[in-house]
Amino acid sequence: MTVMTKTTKTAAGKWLRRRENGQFEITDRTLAVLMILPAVILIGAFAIYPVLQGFAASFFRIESATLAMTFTGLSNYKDLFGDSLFWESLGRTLVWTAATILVQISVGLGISLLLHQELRGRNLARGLVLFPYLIPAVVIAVTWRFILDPTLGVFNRTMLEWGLIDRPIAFLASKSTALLFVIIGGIWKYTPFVVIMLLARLQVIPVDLEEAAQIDGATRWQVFRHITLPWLMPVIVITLLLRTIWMFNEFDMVYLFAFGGPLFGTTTLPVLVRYLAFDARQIGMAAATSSVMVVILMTMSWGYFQFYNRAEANLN
Amino acid sequence: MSRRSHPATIFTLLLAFIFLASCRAVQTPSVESTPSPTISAPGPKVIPFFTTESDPNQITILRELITEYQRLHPDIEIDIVLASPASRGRRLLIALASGADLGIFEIEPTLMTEWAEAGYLLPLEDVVDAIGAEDYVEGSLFESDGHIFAVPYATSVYSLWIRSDLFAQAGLSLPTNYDEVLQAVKTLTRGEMYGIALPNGQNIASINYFSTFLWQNGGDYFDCRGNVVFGEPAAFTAVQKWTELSQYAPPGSTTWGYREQIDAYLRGRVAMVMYAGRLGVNIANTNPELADKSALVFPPWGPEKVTLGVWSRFAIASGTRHQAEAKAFLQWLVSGDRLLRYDMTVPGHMIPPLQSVQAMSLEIESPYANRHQVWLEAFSRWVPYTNHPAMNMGSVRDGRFVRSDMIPPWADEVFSTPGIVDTMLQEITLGSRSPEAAWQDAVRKMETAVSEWKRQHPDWQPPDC
Amino acid sequence: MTQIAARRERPLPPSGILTPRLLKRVRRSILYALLLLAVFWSVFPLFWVFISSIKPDTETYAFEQTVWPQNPTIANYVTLFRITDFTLWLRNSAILAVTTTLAVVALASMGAYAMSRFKFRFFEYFGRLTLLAYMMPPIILVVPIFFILFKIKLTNSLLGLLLVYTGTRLPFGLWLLRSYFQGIPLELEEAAMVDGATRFQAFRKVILPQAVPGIISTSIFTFSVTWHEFLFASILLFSGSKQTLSAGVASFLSEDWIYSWGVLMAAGVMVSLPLVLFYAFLQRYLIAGWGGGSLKG
Repeated sequence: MTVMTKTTKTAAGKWLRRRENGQFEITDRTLAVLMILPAVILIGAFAIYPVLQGFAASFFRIESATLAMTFTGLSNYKDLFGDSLFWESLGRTLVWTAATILVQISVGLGISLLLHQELRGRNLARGLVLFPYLIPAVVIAVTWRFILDPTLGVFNRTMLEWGLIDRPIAFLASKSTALLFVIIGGIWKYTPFVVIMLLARLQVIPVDLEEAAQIDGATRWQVFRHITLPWLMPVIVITLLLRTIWMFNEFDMVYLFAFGGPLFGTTTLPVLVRYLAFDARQIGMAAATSSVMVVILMTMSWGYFQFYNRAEANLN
Repeated sequence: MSRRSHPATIFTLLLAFIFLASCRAVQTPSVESTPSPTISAPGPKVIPFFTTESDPNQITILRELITEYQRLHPDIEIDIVLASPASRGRRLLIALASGADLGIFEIEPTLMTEWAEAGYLLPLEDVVDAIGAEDYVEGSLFESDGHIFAVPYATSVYSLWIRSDLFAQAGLSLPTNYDEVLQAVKTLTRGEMYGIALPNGQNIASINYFSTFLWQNGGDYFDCRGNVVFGEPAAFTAVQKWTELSQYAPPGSTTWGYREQIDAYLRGRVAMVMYAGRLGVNIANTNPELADKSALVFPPWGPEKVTLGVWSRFAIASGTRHQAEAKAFLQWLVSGDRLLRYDMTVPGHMIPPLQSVQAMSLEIESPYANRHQVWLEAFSRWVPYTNHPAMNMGSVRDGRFVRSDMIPPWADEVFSTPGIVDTMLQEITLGSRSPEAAWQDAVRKMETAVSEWKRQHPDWQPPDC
Repeated sequence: MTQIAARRERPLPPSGILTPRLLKRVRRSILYALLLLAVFWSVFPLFWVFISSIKPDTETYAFEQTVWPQNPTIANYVTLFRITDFTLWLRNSAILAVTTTLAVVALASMGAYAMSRFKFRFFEYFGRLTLLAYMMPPIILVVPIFFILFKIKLTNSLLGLLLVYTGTRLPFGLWLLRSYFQGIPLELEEAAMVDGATRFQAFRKVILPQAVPGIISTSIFTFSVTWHEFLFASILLFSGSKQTLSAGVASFLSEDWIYSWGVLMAAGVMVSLPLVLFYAFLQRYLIAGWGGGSLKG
């Protein structure tokens, strides 16, 4: 008798069941619904409903002072798709997302494996490598900007002293390097998140599997490839999925680093949304941009779900 | 057992930390009384007070003043909220649109017309009259639709700070015209020193500073009837001068705003920088030696005497619960001795809008005032020559500066950032466009923005002038 | 990393110098070097924040800036506490972060358990739908959320913000914990139920302890994201007594300039410190490897 079959077979009623002593008790089905209900309500009210509202707003022209709405059909989308700034921002968003994600995941995996080794001082190191994730983006952005400033910053100064460059370089003032440094900042800030996720998963790896494999004469690579990696896979995929969504939507690190400039060179879609909603005061256009972002992300996540199902199946 | 005690210790520390934190909070005067303003409770009448002025000295004095007022009026509680400028507009707007109680807040000129039309602002003529309308400096009060929706408490005059020691060493006299400035930046840009700090980022500093070049050379963005006049030759002269001087600004200044250029001056990297009185106070605090090597001149970019002035004003939300009380407090705060004390937290930067208080402010004795009296007097003297791009449409007529007190109704469309003017400047200084091409493009964009606005507001009539 | 591991295991010809012991030493030195690099890379900017917070502003603005403070001072911290309701902000942030974390962990583990053990089609759709929460830029969500809270009279209240935070952090918890529960064999709770435990007891006493590392990851995430959250806090709360830390600290970044670099940096340190302590507290559990061993049995 397994738990699963018990639910369906003995259920006199779907939701309630009479016990032998005559009292009622809830079925597992009811229990499941009760357990998930609070989450459904909260997520519905504060996550899903606002998104639908935002989606609806994209079909309206919205007065910036009164928030009064006039239905305009698809005109926001038409304006958006005709705007080269939108397409450029989309391109930059994809570059930013791909670059930060690839490095985060690979470096994050490397660091978490490193911290899983029996090394002296690793407990301290485990704490320290997490720091970037713990400092608010506001403080970090100001500090980085300051460190990188060509006239005032310590970075250029040191490089000059060591003779690596012969005159100060304004990294954030050139369209070609600004995005690169914003990407470095993003990697710096969010790699620790990947480390936390993977390190936690490594803690619960069934140790005997690893040991048994090593006794069987498997090489380290083989153990990693056939035991560790599949064990990590579901978490890697979830981390990838969520980080992709989050990096795509990242605002703080991008905006506070370079404020979307120079010449819109670091304007990604979330920065564009802010610009449209606050500065250009076209809230409807901002909502349309956001809706396009949702569609792109939904398509991407669909791909991840396929991976996720496979990773879970592999594990079983 | 001992292993478990570590997390327990740390957790206890954490709790102790939070506990200590809350204990100290109780000692802060402003939170002594029960903080939650519930509707039914018979507690004090709470008036929210939003400010973005986060200068430590200013907050300290503001808190003192509020404590004093609360002692005089035990039934009133002023709830001071530090707001970040980045979120303020948005926060206020959403709350206003929903009818939440917002009390007193600082308001930007660009938002005034629109918010007044939407009915969010309380008319404040009675407050102004009670203080004495005739005592206000010209240009400080602002009527729209026959009402005054905001009470000024200070203005800042933007001037040119100069390293007199470097000028002396190079045998230069303090500049009085553009050619002398140009000569100076060429001479003083050496090694790690740069002639002048000009912000060229996509931000409000660039727009504001460039505007002084524009006006002084006889140009403007719009005439008094709301036509774009940025395409006239005077404007291009300003663009050329700006571009020329920017070559002697530090690398990286192509993304700078107010903050970075001031930092550059404070660290002694540039020989000239434009800013208002706060810079003097800050030099005296952080680098007293530099204060003695600094001099102040009226910006000499062209023949006309006009510079940037930024008025700070308070408004009251029309939906506030205790209107009379809010007005009473505001009237108390922005007049007489209180205004003097608040404005003297940053002497020279916050010039009182009341003539009587302004006169008193020059009599105040303080180490800073005694040492730099000449700066404070200069700022007061220059108030009549101040202008603001979003406040005075058509303020330069036939090459001469005349205050117009007319907000271009499309100010927010044209002067929000990243916007038309700042993008033009950055394009030029980053070398991605020639000055001429960038300027002509900016003129086109400005004309489009204005005609789009007029299309959406067919009822708008150009003012008579 | 993995390449190093792989190289180490390739059978090597028994050459004279490369004895296995030497090889092991080389490998370990490389690992230590990498560890040091990772630590330096992570810590340097924070170190810079800290150093700047104990420098008087006169030093920050010196022509030749020195790395080490010449006259270290705590004046910036004193100013910070004097001019702001910092301690009050700290309390509000702590209340919000702790309650949100508890709520998310409780609701997410129950929800994730239901999702992993009962194959309703609705759960599958719901699970995917929850990710919508992260797909739209928050700026767009602020207005609808404000109006929801306004309707239930919870604007300007920590409780309202708690609901918003819990609702928006839950999807992450659900997804992560579901992946943990999925890896726990069904037999474990069956055994418990045969011993007379109810389903819920089995979940609480047998399944939850297995997922502790997942719960810790969820907690760290929820706590730090809530701690840093700025947009919603600054728009939904408008009493001075209800400000949170990050919204308060952001008010020091004026459009014009930073009035005092040192005070801002001190605020940065003070904002980060509780998080560091919180992590240090949780990390013990992570290292202890809770639940890790018991899977063997």
